[in-house]
Amino acid sequence: MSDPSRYDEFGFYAPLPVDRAARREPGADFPTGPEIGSALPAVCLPDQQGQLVDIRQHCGSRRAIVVFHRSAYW
Amino acid sequence: MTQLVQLQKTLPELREAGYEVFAISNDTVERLADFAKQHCITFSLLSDEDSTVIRAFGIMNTLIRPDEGKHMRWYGIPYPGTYITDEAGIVVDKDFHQHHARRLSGRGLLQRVLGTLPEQHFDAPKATSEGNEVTLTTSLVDPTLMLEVISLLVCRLHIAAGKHIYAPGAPEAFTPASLEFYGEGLRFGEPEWPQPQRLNMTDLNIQVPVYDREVTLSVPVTATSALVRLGHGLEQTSVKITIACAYQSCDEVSCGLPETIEATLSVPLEELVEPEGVKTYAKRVEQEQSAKRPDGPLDGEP
Repeated sequence: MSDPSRYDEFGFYAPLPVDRAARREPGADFPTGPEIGSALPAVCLPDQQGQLVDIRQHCGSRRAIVVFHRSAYW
Repeated sequence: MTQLVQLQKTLPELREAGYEVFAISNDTVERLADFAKQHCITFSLLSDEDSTVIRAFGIMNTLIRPDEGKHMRWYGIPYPGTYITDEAGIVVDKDFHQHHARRLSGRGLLQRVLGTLPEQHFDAPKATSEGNEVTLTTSLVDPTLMLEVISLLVCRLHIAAGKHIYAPGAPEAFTPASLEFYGEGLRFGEPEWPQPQRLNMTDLNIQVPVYDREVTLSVPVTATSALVRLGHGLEQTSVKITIACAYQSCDEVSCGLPETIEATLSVPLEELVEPEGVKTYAKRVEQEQSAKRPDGPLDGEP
């Protein structure tokens, strides 16, 4: 087994030491935002081309999948 | 990063199912543009640079302080997760996991939004095992398994005409169907058995839950760090999954003995899409480990 200090309490290994800030994991009751049955809050943000995108307008009458991710860079 | 690449692969099917796809992070537009170009991403990657939207959703990661990881912009990232909305923008489902690395595969998400299993991927690993009266067919919804990317193992039991098997919850005298899964370094979720039929056994004056013709169920499965270590490549290129199905098949007149059949499928492993920095860190770890060996580095190592 490689360096045990790189494994967190979930058994997940990463080469970054486990005490780094980006490796802290929340408790089981961490916040997950809007509940099922509630309206998705408004989102109007620039996309990868710098164009403003309003999710509701962009969707029109279509359904949406909205993924929040940590980074496309690291 | 892997999730975005998988969403791109699944995009045609998601759009055909009536969905638009959006991804949000606190990355700058420039960084998102670089990623989109490198991986040919055509759906919207939205830049929430000052985390206004992340905060409005109430999912900002509050475990990271503003002075930590400044160069990497760690402060302001969300707890990652996925929302699925209907045509009116109402949240109908969401997928969040306590560990940041865990997420549904692209085809796992497709199953979630469709509510049914997607068509089998042409490269999907599969296996079949035949017993008396029951054939077990098993396949993965994805062509590969990746670290902490949650796929679905699909198990189909084909039951011979005129026969039935007992469902979980059947009285003690009857052997209910059960599935057990084994794969080294893999984590399996719990199988969800579909609603059974009720068979009236008038002789015994009881109703018994049974399945006939075909039963399909899916089980979440993912590769863990016991199999794949982030940044260190793949130490093995595939993993075997063994499924054992126990059942008892009967008809109106008689019952067979309880039986167990096994199927084993070989699933290729695939590396995550990783930033270069992860591999750099991993090389450093390997060098440290090598230096600590009592007999020093192996031949050819620095």
